[in-house]
Amino acid sequence: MKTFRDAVKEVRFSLRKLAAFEIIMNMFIVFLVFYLVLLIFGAKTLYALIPTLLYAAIFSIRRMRQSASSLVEERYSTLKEKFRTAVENQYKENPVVNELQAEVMRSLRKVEESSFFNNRETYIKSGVIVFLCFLIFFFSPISLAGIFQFDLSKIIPGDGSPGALLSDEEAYPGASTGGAEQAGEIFGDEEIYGKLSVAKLGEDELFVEFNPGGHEINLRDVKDVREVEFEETYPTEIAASSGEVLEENIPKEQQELVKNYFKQLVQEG
Amino acid sequence: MQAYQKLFDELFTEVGKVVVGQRNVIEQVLVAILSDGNALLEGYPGLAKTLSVRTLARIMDLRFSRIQNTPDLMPSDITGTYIIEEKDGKRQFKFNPGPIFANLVLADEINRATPKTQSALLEAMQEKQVTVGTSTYKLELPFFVLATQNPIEQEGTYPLPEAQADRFLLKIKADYPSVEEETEIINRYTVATGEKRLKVVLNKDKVFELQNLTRQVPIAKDLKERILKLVTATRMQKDMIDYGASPRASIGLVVACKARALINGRNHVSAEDIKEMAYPVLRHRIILNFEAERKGLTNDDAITQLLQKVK
Repeated sequence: MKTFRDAVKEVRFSLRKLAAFEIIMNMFIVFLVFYLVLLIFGAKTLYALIPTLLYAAIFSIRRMRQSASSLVEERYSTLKEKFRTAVENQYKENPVVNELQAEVMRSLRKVEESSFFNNRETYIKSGVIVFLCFLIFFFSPISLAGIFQFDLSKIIPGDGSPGALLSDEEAYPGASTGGAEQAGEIFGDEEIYGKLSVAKLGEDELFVEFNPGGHEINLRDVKDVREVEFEETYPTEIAASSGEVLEENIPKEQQELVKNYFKQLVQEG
Repeated sequence: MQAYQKLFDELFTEVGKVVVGQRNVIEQVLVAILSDGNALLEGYPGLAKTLSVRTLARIMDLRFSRIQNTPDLMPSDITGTYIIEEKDGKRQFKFNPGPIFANLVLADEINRATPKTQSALLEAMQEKQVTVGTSTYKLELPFFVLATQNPIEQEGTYPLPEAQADRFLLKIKADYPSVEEETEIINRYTVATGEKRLKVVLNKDKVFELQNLTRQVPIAKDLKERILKLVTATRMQKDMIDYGASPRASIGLVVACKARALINGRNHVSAEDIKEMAYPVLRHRIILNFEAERKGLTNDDAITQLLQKVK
């Protein structure tokens, strides 16, 4: 038969399970919010773990300090004062305490774990998590750092945007050589090549090398046209023949008739 | 606990056959008995103080004695004295026990007795023994003293000093009955009826058992802390109280709350018990300062304010 102490342990375990579930859900939300903010401003998203872990530590300690007795008594007024008195005196053995424990055990049978579970709050939190996930998917190819002229990666190290980690030359070797330099004299580097950027597909970086076509004309390399003599004879392998598919087996005496028919069509038309 | 509650209900019913109303007074007297303490009962004359205690003694099958304190009362009038007895042609001193040798002692108007006489009674209350000459005589248990005081006609009296008043667990205030109760009193006591036959509900062994059970009633930690905060607040509230309650008050309040819980059929102490027992336990243990008295505050008002603070 379950003793009072076992019943108290069970109640505490159930309440701690529910508290852990709540904290994990809240951690998800905190993590996703910070992840989204860092993603939008181009910062390293791994730093979202810091506030998440802080939240987890603070709220776990808070919930640990909250006594199970007060939570149960809040929900079930019939156990008010009785439950905590019985729990605090659970190691005493006397007729009055035994009777109190028996009474509390009878009342605990009516206590349901589900009564401590806030369904509405859980549904709302689940919805918020799903919404945040969608926002993250939506914002992942976009960086608002350029639009708002604010690059968070200058404060928090970024995810590899060239400005933060590499210089332009290191990022794009050869991008400023040869014709590019000459072209730059006329148009300016940026106007010809545009802003150097790294295409991003999700988190993958693709180095896109723009080879400025048509500008690599080195006038020093221009020579006179080379005279070439074309051969008059065609290669023998080149032959044209009518497609056999188009050949019709019309008798000779009727070929004249067909020819005149088409001539007449032309004259009439 | 159901069985015990039935017992107390029966007790109140039996007392109710003789005493009309004063339920609060009877309950608090019972609390003092179960807590193995003594009580100081303050009330105007004619409020059935003596009758209540006498009736309780009958229902609990305890020996009852009454001491009417007067300024000329000597300590030996309370404790007893040696008398010369002639037996078999020989004279010898024999100790003649005084009225204090009972289970329930009603000391009427204790403030009228001299301090010397008061101290003899107080020694018996504290030590449960009496010293006469060189001999010490143990008092029969259970031993309970209910001392009374008249709140009016204080001239020529010897008010109990604070240190002596602290030895009483409770100071119970008896109030006038309500109109309905007084109507019942008139109806009952203006017709010729014989003495009411009362059933013995408790006996000595049962009283010991209940006193033992009282100490076993559990109390939650936060309620214990609330009691401590309340008692220490009486010492900290210097804007209202000159002298606060001693640790004896903390012990007394805890035990009194346990007794009240038992009387009400509960197997645990509740916040309601603290609220009810704070007044009888603390009112005689605090001394208000001049400023509070000037404002017309009473000890009960001060306790009410402190209870609000420590909620």
